[in-house]
Amino acid sequence: MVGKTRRSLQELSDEVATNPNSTAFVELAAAYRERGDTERALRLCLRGLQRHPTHVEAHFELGCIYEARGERELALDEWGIVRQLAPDHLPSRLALVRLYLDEQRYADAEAELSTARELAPADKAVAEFWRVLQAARRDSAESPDEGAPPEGAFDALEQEHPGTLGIMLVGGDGQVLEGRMTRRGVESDRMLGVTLNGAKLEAARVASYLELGGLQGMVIESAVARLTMSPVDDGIVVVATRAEVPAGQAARVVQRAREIAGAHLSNRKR
Amino acid sequence: MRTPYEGLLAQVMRMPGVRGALVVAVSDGLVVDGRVHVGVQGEAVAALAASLYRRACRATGASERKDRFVELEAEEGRIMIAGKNDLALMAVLGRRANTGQIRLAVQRAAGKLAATEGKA
Repeated sequence: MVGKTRRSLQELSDEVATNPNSTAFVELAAAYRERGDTERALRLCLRGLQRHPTHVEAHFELGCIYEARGERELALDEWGIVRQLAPDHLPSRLALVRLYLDEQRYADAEAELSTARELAPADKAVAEFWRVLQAARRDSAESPDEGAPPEGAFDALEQEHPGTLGIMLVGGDGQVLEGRMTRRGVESDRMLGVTLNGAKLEAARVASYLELGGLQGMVIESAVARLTMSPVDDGIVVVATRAEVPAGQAARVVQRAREIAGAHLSNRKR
Repeated sequence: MRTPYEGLLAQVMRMPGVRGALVVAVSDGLVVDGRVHVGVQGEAVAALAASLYRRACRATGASERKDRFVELEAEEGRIMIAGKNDLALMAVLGRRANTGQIRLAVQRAAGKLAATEGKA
């Protein structure tokens, strides 16, 4: 770590063991990762993040661990969280660029690299990545947007509200129609869609039985996140935000997501 | 008959727009103590809302034994449920209730409820 004397594994272990609130778990996890013990590094980092859910370096390290384990999607998600928590965190931007280049997602790489260049115009790594990007583009002779995934319906909304963890639209049959929940894979999103659709049906029955009228929404909050589901046609739009996002702001995201979801469903019907 | 939960329930019930407040055992949906206005079916609220609370916790992959807050919003009112361990505090709100204030009162009361359980 820059500007710090590296401490031994024993010193770090002792500190983490004696003080559960210590953030030394990040350094310790990095040390385990470098030794190839990614299982222990992962456990340590996930446990530490439960106590320090907004610790930027911990999320960055978790991304590095996922990358070392070959779990690239999870690494991308984790570095995406760093980008939201600390937009000027250069290492995470460069890590994203590296993965995007590997996956030949040149438009995404260029977008990240442009921001990185604004953050650190004289950085050698940034300059080197530019050179690699230009060379890769020449080799593939493709247009800048070719190969980039199509933009999702909720992407712009998520970017406008940095505390948003994910937005998805679930159909009446529980299938995910649009969007995703970050940090979880497609399969987890499917499971979540089916389960939340079941919860919506139960909530609607409860509201009806208790003579409260039609269901308008449901909110589930924990210490780290807030999950809001709101009916749209026969489906639901699900929005996850960080717990520290004020409830009023989260409600505005939900309202916008509902409008986007409504428009998306109308387009599908045409 | 006086119970240890009277103070907590009174804290929530004094908020304008609250039509009922209940301490409920989450695992079986039975009422432990409660105050409800005429017309509110306390036992039905407890049973149905506890089931919904359990499902919501499962849906989010979370243990029921962690701080949780679940809110059901409907055209004519809301139900709020907050808890940590097996006991949860539920509130039934009318349509015109001040949601923000009551949410705070419910969460505060649920925190005290969890502390009471810890001592029990």
